[in-house]
Amino acid sequence: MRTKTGHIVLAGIILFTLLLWVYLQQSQLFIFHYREQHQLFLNDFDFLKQTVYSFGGVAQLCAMFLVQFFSEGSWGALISACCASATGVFLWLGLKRFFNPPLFILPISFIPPLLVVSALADTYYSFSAATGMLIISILFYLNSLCKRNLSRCVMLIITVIAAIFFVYQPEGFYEPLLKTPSYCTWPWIALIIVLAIAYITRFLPKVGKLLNAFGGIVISILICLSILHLSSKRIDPDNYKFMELNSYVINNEWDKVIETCNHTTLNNILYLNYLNLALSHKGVLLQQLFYYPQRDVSSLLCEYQKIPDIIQLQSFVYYQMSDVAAAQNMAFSTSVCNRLGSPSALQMLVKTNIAFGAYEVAEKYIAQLEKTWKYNDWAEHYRAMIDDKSLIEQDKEIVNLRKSLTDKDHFAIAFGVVADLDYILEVNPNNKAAFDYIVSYLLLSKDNASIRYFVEKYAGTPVLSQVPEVLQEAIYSIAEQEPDYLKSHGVSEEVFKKYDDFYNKYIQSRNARRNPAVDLRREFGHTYWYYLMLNK
Amino acid sequence: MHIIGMVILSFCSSCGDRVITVEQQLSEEAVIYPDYKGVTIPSNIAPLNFSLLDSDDAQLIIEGEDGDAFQVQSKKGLFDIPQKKWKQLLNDNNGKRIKLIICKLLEGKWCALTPFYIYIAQEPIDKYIAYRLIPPDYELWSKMDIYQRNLETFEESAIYENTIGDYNCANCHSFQNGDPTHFLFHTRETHPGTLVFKDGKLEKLNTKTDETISFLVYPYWHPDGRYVVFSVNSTRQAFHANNLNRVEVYDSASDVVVYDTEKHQVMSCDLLKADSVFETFPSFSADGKSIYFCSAKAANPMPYEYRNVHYDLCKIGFNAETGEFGNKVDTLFHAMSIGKSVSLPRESPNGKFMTFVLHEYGNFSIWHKDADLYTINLQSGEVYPFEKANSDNVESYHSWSRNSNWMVFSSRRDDGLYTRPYICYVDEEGKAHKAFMLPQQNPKKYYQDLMVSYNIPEFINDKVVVNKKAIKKMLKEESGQSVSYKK
Repeated sequence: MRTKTGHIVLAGIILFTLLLWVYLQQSQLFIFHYREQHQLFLNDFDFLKQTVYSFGGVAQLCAMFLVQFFSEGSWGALISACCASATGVFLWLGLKRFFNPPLFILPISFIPPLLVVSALADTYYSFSAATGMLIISILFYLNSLCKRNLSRCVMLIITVIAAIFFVYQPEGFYEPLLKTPSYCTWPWIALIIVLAIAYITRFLPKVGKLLNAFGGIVISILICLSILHLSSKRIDPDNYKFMELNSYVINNEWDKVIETCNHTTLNNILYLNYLNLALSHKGVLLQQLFYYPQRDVSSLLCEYQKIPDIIQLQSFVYYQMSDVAAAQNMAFSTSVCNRLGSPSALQMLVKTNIAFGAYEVAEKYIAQLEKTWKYNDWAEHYRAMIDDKSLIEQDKEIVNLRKSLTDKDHFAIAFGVVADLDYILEVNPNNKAAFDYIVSYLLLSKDNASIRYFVEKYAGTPVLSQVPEVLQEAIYSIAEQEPDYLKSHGVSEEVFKKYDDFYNKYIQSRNARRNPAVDLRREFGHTYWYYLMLNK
Repeated sequence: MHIIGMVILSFCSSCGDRVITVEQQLSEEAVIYPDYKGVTIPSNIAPLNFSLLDSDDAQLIIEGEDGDAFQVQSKKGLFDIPQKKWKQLLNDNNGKRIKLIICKLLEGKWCALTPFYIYIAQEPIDKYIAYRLIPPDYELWSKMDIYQRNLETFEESAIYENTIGDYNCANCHSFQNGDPTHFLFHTRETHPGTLVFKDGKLEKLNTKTDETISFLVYPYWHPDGRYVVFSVNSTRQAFHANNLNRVEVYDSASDVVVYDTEKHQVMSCDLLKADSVFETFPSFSADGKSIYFCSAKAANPMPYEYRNVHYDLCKIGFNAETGEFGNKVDTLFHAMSIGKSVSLPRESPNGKFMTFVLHEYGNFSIWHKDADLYTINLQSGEVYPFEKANSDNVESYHSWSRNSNWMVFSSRRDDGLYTRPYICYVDEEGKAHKAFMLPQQNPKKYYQDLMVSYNIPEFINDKVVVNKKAIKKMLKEESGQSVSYKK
């Protein structure tokens, strides 16, 4: 690389790496965050040994080591770009020493790693494919350094053994429960084709500098465009949005959740779950509930499915409701289903176990997190609580969870969320999140009998010391003909007037044979009445 | 604390790098994990490695009754006892006790803590145990494997890894008299069936019949090997909102049936499948002439009535030659009358004792903190707890060794959630001695890091050798033998 050509090639590779970094950062940021959340790399000898001793263990270990940094700024994109570039470079260096092909085919040595990068847009494809290919390209390069036939032979044997034991994974680097898609095998097929091309081109007549440069640039552009196209095809926009929201939730970035949802068509029930969770965290769930296109109670909490991501989302929602047992159950399932671990699930298990006073169990999870690079400080904070129990009483979050633990013999989840929340409010009437969620549930279910039961049960108690406007609207709709009931249950004069206005405009619209849902949306779209009567 | 003077101990340390001189005796108890103080062990058990919890640098002197001894230096608090020396010492002290002295270096002097003893029983223990490793949740899983462990060493190997069955659920392994060639287990969800290993043959069964309420569930082999008694259960689980017992597993219906491995036929009788009664956890008596089972008056609706279900310990006759059941059910232990419930009855192979789990209600004792092991002396009828083996936490699934001197059982005493296998010696009077945790090379780290529970620890006589390819083929490609119901 000491020649002018060498400098140009080097600059080209650096430029390529930078462009790939930027591209990945822009297009796959939340895929990196998602990957980081689906593994637990432990700085622990037994863990390292156990990982290395499995098929493809070295590649897996390297991948897990790198992925632990993926949620830090743009490290995920940078590491991936560097990994791809390094693979291409080592492959080229090996090709050059073995076959001395013309320079213009240099870009084709970047095809296999780029195909890996494109396949990695599918989160079921393991990052160990990237580290595995890097290891193989390094070994290939080391092979090329051997000058004698004997040493080359020994090195080749080492390479094959290393490839089989340290890189190869029987599942083809893909989630074992799923069928490996064909595009996951493309990089490896491409690798063989690249070797073949490099071998063949040595027999071509020598090419001039200009043609080399021109050919190289054209091939580079063609490769990059095709692979970028392939990569973008792998990303399911709905799934990517889910990953984005999930990342914000894990990092407690509630404003970003709301902002993202404000700019998204909320056609997915999971988005609404995230949005409502964020509204609850901001303390405005009831105020803003009907500002968004709520469907039914599943907008608050989707139906249980045996899918780890959905189970984890449920754990977040239950935790916000202070439904500790339900949150713990879901967090545990999340942790179990993610074969390589789930740091945020472990964090929730720590908090819920401390809330229950199960310190030995909490300590078990803390010990795991203490062995990680990212969660070490977090774990130490909770370790201190276990060592000094008085610190628990100073932690508002845990204290709130503890206050919300029912003293009744009750099964969480089994009798529905409303039943769970009702028990929580009985012991912790000041739990605003639980209150907001239960009222939201009652309103979204359009269950007048349950609304009446709730209002009458808690009337005059701290739970209903203030009746939110949206609940007043609901009370009005269930007891429209009972003015005394309305007044005694906190319905204000403003709500009376507002309802008259709504009703009159509704009748006017209908009499004019227009669509009231359209006519009233702007003025009354965020009221319970609109949801009750006009929401489809 | 008193000085005992200079005691020169010319022992070799385990790694040969330090031989210490005890200069002072402290009246301080060693804080160790696992708690192996005063336990009774078999002479063929792997070294009882343990950690000193309050010091990294210490020396352990292990001394036999005739004075032979050796030293082990701790590494980060762990005493990793050399297997060869341990084995020799145990053989030399069979039926006696060994003394363990932990010494700490304080102000340049080696000070001995209060010594403790480990008792070595004359009776050996079965060579292996089999168990399932699963997350303590039972609702979802990823890896779920059945393993075996050589009790004489630290060697662990897989009997069934669910990766070969596309991550299916594997459960309820059961061996006939601890025979490693004669056993079964179920697989569920993906590639469901019951795999029966018998006389070198592997068979897959489809065990649901129109007449039974479910697939065959909890098994127990007849001592002769032809029959297996099962329960069939309609089981659910729920999660307590705030209770020491996290999970509640309950039946809304259950019966007991016997499966004939030769005819591929399931049979039962009216006394074992009454709708008004929940019958579960059956097992054969040691002579094979009776079936023990747990029986409760059916409660409905479940789970609302879950606390009102109390199982008694019952028994019915069984004729292995004709395959016929007795015509009456005897109640051996009326647990309901004392507001308790029985699960998992297991008669000792010598026929002298019947051990079961006693708890407040229901049948799934592994989730009940109050669950303890109890025994009936079948000769005297005396019922008593396994006091020294029990703890404040859960004791549940248990298995007798072939010589009826050892019992392995599950306990949550360690951290309250993850079950660990404990082994206790049962003497001629049927009394349990203090139990010891299954030894590991580095038990403190191993059990701390292990994120799964030991489930259904079962003694086996020798190592199970299975053909994984055959199992995989059987699971994935064979439709399986259907089981019929004998009317």
